[in-house]
Amino acid sequence: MWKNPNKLQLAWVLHRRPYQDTGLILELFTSQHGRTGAVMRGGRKHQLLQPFQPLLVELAGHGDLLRLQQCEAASPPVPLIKQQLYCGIYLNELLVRMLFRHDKQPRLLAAYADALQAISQDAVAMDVVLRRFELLLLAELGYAVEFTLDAQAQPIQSARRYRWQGENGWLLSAEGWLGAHLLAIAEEQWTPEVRRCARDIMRTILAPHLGSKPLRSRSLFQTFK
Amino acid sequence: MKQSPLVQQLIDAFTCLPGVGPKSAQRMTYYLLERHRQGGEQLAQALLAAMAGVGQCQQCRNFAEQEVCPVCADTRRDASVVCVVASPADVLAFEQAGGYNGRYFVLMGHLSPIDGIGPEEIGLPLLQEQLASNAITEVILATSSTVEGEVTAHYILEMCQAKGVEVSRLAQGVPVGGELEFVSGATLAQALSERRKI
Repeated sequence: MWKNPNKLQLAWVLHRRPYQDTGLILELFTSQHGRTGAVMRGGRKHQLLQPFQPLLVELAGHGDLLRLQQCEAASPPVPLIKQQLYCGIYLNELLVRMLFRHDKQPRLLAAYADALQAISQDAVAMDVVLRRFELLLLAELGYAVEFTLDAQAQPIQSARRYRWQGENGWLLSAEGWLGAHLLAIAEEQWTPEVRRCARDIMRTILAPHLGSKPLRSRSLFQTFK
Repeated sequence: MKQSPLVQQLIDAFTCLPGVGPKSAQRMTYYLLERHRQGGEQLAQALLAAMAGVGQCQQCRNFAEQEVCPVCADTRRDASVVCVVASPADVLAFEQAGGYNGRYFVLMGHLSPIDGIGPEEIGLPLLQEQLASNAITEVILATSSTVEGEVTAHYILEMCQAKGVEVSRLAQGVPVGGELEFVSGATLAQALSERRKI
């Protein structure tokens, strides 16, 4: 029985770690509280409290660490397998590192669910899904990236090269990325070369937001010989 | 009231145990000092001896007093089959269940990038070396059925496939002696999709 059905909200587990003997400390991405910490006593026996499982939860308390009163499945889990799991883990790490606590992000919450579905359905290349999500994440946090104009508000020229400077934007530079690739990203024309280029660009743009520690999930994507 | 320094030191030391706060630590300390001094000395000696004497097996990373643990040193066991588990407790569970005659590889955790636990932290370079030496013909993945467990299993699967080593995964489904009514939906779905011809 739900104690208070009005307080139900959608939530995704971004991260979980054990607490005492059977409890869990969770990092949740919720519709009402944005990213928040939550503790649940006896939570390790709860098979539902896993990443990629949409949940309906009731949270109580205030401050950084809320209490998870009750939870149930909102819908079946997103069936991620193999490499898709790495992508899911990467999205979770990105959100844990980038989102502020208690900052409601309704569009991002919806985009997160869509991104996980897209990854599991394998219709679009996984890296393209990740790039779109990274760009939306930056935009929602107030750091939208403009791929068609340079720092002087001049159109990006396809034959010239540009480098990224955090506060200003794109600056002309002999060593930088080709303007044609930036324009291709803006128009979502994902050729293999553009995708490689977009990966490096996003890594550079995200770096200052992540501080000194790089994202560890990237190390999973290595290939074995 | 302030405790005498040695008593306080002991209380502080007890709080390093999981689930033990200052209050429980105080209770343990007084119990040992008041009623069970001999037990306290035994505990101290056992702790010292274990901390100094127990290391990790160089083959399977399980706790061992010698360089190689008894399971790895046992020549009657099949050294070419390796069961990958997350913790020493899992090794014990398999040994008690019986019926397994291969070696183990103990990860001491799962891959969890957000916690900073990558492939190196769970000893995968060592497993990689063992795979490269061609001494292993089959790897059994026995990580738990959580997301971290699945990620870890897939990572090791990729490692093994690159070396052409056969890989299997523990079967997942209805527990022995379990009634279907009480099995979770996800487990039942898994059991159905991986059903076996008999």
